[in-house]
Amino acid sequence: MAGKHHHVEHHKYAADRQPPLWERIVAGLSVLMVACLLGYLFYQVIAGDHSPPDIVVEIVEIRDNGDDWLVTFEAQNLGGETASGVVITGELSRWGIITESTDITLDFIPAKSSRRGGLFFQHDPRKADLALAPSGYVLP
Amino acid sequence: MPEDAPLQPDNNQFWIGYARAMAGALIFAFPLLMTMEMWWLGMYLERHRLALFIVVLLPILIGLSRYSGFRETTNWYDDVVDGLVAFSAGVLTSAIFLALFAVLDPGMSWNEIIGKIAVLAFPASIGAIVAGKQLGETENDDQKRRARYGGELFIMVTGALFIAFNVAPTEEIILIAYKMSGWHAIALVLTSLLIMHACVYALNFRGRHVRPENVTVWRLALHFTVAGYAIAVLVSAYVLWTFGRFDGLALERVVMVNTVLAFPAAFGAALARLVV
Repeated sequence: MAGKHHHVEHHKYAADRQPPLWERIVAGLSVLMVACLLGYLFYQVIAGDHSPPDIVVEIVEIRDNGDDWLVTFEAQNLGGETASGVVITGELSRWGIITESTDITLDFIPAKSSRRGGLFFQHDPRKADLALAPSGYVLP
Repeated sequence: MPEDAPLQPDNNQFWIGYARAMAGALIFAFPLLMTMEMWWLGMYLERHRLALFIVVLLPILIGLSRYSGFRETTNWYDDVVDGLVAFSAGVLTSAIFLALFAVLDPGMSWNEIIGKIAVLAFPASIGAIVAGKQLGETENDDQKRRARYGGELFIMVTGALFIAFNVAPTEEIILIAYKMSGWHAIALVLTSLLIMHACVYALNFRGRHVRPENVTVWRLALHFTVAGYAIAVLVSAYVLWTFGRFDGLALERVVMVNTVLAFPAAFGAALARLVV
């Protein structure tokens, strides 16, 4: 019956009139954190950017893969709304005539955020005029 | 029969306990074992984040052994052993079932195979450690009541972590965040707090049998509800970061996605007491 001693201890919790200091510190920090979270969300509602998606595509690297060429890019959404189903089209042209065209769809580009991807070309993009541009999007 | 008999299990009892742990691992992990996003995470998750997650998992298992575990523990040495045994049961269960589902294949690299098992080891070993409480014959009420404020916070962290881990891999968490406006997010935070408070109020003291007469409504709201929600927010952020969900996201999007995941995590935190 040595286990009896433990039972006495449990009731201390109920007898604690004042919670310990560290418990109050944890609670205080929690209140502060939740207040900051709500404050930030309010700030975004009132002062946040709600402009439509504005997508800028930048070429990161052109790579010779042997059997084809890879053009990696970074698509950045400068607008205040998330774009989904963003089609990025890559075109190779010479003297104004399009010789090769390929595209890829990015699932999401959140507001003020960026996504990376790549396009494969059958011809060397460095020996032609290479253009990457967004074709369109839908709202999620 | 000597009084301390259940503290020293013989071999037979150990294997029965181990089988029970594996059953628990399967119950807790099978929805994720059969989710393809989890397999993908095993492939592409950054290895240092995955390693850190395993490092975080071990003390959680040891702590859970204190509050539930698959046999009565009397000291930290036993808790460490139980935690490690639960981890092994979780890893073994994940490996067996991923292999059965043909998700693991001899043609895969070791990196991929270990990654897939490691990701699923988390829910599986949590299931393994909790199995004793759920499937065992003994209601271990003594240890349950031992939890003080620190213990309560720990159990909330565990519950939030488990639920957040279950929900975070889905694409819908991201999609919901993209669909919501700022007002939706504020309403979701307030709703999370309200539901959490209801759960805390109704359930938090159930396992203890001690009426919280001296615990004022204010103390309950600030020290348990708000603290629990803060835990849910932090745990969500940690899980989303581990899964690489924040990569390339602007701060305002990070906060939105995190608010979405904090909702189920808050539930997990509030209801963990029922399971553990």
